[in-house]
Amino acid sequence: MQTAINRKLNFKKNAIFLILIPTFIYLIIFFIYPIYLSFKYSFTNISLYDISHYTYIGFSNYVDLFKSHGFQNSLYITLLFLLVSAIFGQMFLGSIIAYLLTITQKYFKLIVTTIILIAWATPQVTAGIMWYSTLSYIPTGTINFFLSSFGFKSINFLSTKTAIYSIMLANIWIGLGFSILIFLGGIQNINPSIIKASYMDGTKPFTRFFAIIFPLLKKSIITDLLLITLFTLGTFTLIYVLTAGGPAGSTNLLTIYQYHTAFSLFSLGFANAIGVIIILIAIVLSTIYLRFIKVE
Amino acid sequence: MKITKILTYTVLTLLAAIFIVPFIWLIVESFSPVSDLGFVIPSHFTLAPFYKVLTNHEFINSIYEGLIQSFGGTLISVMFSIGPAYIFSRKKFKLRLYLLLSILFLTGFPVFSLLIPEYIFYIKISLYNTLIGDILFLGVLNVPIDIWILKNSFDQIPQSIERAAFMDGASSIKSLFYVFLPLALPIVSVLIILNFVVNWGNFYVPFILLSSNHLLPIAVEIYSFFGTFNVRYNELAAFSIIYTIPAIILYMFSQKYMIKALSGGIKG
Repeated sequence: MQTAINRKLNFKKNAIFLILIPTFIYLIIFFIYPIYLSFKYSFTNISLYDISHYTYIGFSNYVDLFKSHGFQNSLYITLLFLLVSAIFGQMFLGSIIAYLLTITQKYFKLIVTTIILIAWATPQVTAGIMWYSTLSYIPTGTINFFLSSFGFKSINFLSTKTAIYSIMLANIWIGLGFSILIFLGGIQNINPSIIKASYMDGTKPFTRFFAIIFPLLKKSIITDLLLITLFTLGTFTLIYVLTAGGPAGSTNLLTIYQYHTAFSLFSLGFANAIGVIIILIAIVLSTIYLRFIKVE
Repeated sequence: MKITKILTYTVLTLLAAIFIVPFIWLIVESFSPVSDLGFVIPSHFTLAPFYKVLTNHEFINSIYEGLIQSFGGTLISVMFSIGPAYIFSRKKFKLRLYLLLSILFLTGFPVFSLLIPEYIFYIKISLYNTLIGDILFLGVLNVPIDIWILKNSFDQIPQSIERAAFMDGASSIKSLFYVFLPLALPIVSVLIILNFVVNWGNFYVPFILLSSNHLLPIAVEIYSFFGTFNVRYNELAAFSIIYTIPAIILYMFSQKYMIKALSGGIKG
């Protein structure tokens, strides 16, 4: 008798956990299952011509991948892009700019922050089109228009050699706002007396930033690094609209390489292997960053 | 001291100027009477490109599709996130930490790499090139981050309020609906805006999962317009402005909450 009542009470108390079930089913079917599929298909020779017939070919997709020049080039470009655009451009420059903003006058800070945030809020398709017409060489884009009207020589920003820097610039432009918001929040949380004390000591502004503020921002830095690295690794739209991986594969990030492999070369097995490598890079990098948080 | 101050202001002013440069072409071109891909100062300014875009049936249909798909995805993700967020915020149970960490893992997942397996999966279960398939995938992508944002915001609502309701004999589920949700309403509405903007800006999901012209949302329509032969660039610019301005306004409105929730999110 007693146990029956208890059980009934327990059920009533735990009934709320049933809410989890539909969400987890939804996530499993549309999110987890495709993750499993991308691993599964990466071991097959599945092709876009006929998706219902394929055979398992073991690791040969991966072996071919690491042998191919296209992939090596793409991996190199992606890592360089991550290093310059995410880590240096957005995280490092972002923290400096956020600090500079905190020492300026209120309204000036508001205007500059808003301008940077508008770039971040711009949808990527629009951003790609805008950057294309800004950097364009023939016909003359905005930058070259101003260069030539001041008597300078026009520069081809989207050539085989320069396009990689252009996509880095465009990506820093769109991503900087996010880092700045995170760092502005982080700097606000620093005890103001620490900063005041450094003024008393007569510390130079440069040293003040690198010796005092930067180390105190550790938590914001790791949060920011983790998120922007993952965002940048998954960047597709902006670069696809701006250069589509060209010219001559010079901006062929892994995501764009994966897209072309699937829909221009019809080789879905190969494309899934590229996808798995993107996933593995994301897992490795996030584990490294999260290790730093655990140390705290 | 004074030199560093002048230097700071100069650097930041220059930075702001550089950030504005990409917008110049878009704005000037959208009011231009002729079509130029490069930058040309027009002979006079006109609203004709906007008028042409807003009277084009295909463009209007793509705006409509964009609205339906973005709202549909938003509705589904918010619906599926409120319950789990409440449980993660209020209940302590065995698997809690593991489930939370897996949700965090999905939040940062490089989603683009999933589109090709999803594409094969969708063809097999005939969801490919359907409105509902597109909405379901847009929806599922935002569920993990929504659970995080909601959980972190729910943590701020004091538990004592529901305890009082519980004492009065309301069950957990009843207290969730009648006591808790009204308090969480402001956060949920910000989240709806944020989800809408993210879906509105999403290009690659409809680009890969849809193919019929009448289903393409505004993001994909702009891209295909950009890629066609003999593009009328002034109309493209006007169309992009119509697409971009609502997104910027809504994003500016909701970004504060997202940052708060994301930077609070890591400590779990």
